[in-house]
Amino acid sequence: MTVAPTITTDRVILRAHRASDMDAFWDFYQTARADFMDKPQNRSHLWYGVMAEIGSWVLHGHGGWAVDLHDGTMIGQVAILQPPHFTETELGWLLFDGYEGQGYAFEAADAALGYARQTLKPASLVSYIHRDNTRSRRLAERLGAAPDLQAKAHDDEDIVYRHFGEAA
Amino acid sequence: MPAIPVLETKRLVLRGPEPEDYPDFKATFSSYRARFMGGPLNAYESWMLYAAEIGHWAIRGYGMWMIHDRDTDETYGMAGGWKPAKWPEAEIAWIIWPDAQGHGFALEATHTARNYFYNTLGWEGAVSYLDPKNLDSIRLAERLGAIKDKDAPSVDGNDVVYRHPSPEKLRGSQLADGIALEIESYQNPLFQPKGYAID
Repeated sequence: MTVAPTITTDRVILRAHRASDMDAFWDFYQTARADFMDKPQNRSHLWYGVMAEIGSWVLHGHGGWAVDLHDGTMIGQVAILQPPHFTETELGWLLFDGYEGQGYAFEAADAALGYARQTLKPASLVSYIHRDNTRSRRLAERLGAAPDLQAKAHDDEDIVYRHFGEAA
Repeated sequence: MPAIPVLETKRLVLRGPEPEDYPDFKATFSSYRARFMGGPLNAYESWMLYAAEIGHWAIRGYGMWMIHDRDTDETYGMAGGWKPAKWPEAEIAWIIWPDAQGHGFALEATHTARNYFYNTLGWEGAVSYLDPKNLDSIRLAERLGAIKDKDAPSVDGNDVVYRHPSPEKLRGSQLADGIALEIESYQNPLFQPKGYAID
């Protein structure tokens, strides 16, 4: 069964999800840091979402990774996903409270981006980011992505940041 | 993550959900057939549930198998164990594609899955959470020897809890012989079940 490959960088480790990640996610979604995301309405919704991010690896060869520091502290998630309402494959990220401003999200997202470029090679890769989520937009730009105003987004309030490839 | 075990019966092979089986799953879960399982689902919900069925194996170490025909490999439905967040106990669950009903596939698959949970994983019992209007599934639960448990907590108050017989109660019992006999009847190609087909 296909699972998320472990990717180690200088300061973070991308690893497959485990059951204990659920509480950390739930806590995250209760904070203002999740305001620009589709928040799960309850623990069941969260459960289905995380299980799907695991199962996506089997279905599509990509999915979600937990992001840990080298000491094992979980600090967030990066994911490469394409549920049916996404026009293109997306690189997404989230970072738990207290870990911003140190380049961790960049390091983790850049590692996932490298994996997409070298291993997955999807036809295109974008990040759908809420227009008011300036911190995430800044991160997309630092990763080298640029807004594609022609690309279709499933949410009118999102801006499509293109990492590579073209809209089908 | 360890591979999902493959279970074999006389007519069926139970394997983990595979990408190529998704169209069959989606067809049933986006249809009226799924009305007792939270459906009909839209494309996103259907994708999410299928991916979550696979994730369930990774996180719990058990889950739902895809039921295949031994000879043709075509899929007939799913059966196995299910325990999302908020489920009070581990559930034995099943669904049969509408076109595959009437051959006893759900009974054969569910009985085999339950034996695996009891004998290999060491479960001491299990329940099934059923919609009280889902009469076919209630009948199947009863044919498996499960009994309505009014005192057990349900998932959300809209479902009834059927408690499966414990491994001790099942082992060598008349009930177990009866289930085996019924499965054998369905396996006989000359067998014509009376009344309307239920699983």
